[in-house]
Amino acid sequence: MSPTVFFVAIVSAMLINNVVLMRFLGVCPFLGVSKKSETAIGMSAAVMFVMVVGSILTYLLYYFVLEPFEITYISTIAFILIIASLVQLVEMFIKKASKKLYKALGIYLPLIVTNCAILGIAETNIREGYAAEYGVGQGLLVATSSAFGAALGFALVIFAFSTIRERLEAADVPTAWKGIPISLVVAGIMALAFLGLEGIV
Amino acid sequence: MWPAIATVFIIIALYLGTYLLNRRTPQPVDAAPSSEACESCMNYSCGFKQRMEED
Repeated sequence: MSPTVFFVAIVSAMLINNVVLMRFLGVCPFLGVSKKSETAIGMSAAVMFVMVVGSILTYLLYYFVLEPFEITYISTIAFILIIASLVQLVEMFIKKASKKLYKALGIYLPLIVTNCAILGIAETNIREGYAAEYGVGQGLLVATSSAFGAALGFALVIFAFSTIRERLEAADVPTAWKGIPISLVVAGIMALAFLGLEGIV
Repeated sequence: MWPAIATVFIIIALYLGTYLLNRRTPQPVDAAPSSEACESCMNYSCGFKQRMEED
């Protein structure tokens, strides 16, 4: 398989089909945790880890358990539980392994369970039919690349948005537009800007 | 039907197991999440936020 496939999967998920601005998934943390750039970086790191590992686990569960037993109709509930278990496991591991990392990511990990972008990417990886196109093994690599690209796209957008919001705090904004209203206008303009990247890949 | 029920039960058991293990794992000393980081977050359903508001 050509390495271009992985590159296209990453760029497509990161910029063209951006999880927040094009698919409108994960808007809750996008607005909730983007007031400061440090918190945006912390959330992005946690999302990146859980999105990639969660995508691998849900892909394997789908093709090695759900499909052979013909029970794909329970995929959504199974994916939610797998992601929630993964978050618990990651939190426990970080508690034991790294005090610094726990201090940095600790508060973001429980929030990830409610982040629909994680579930959305897991479902998209199945719906895109990578396994049918490349085989289950190579399809897993493409799905992982796509999940990594989506996580990078989430990080890029939430970090850029947080820096804009930090500047807006000091800007002279009409009272009625202060806070969330002006942030939503900015998010809309960002979505329009990302729309301009459509058709690159 | 039965494989679906069994799979759901296994995954629920997995979740409960990891939840209990995580709950029993003590937090590292001096690493409690700071309330400053929560100030900018508006997710009020988060357990951390609720605990901090109680304190």
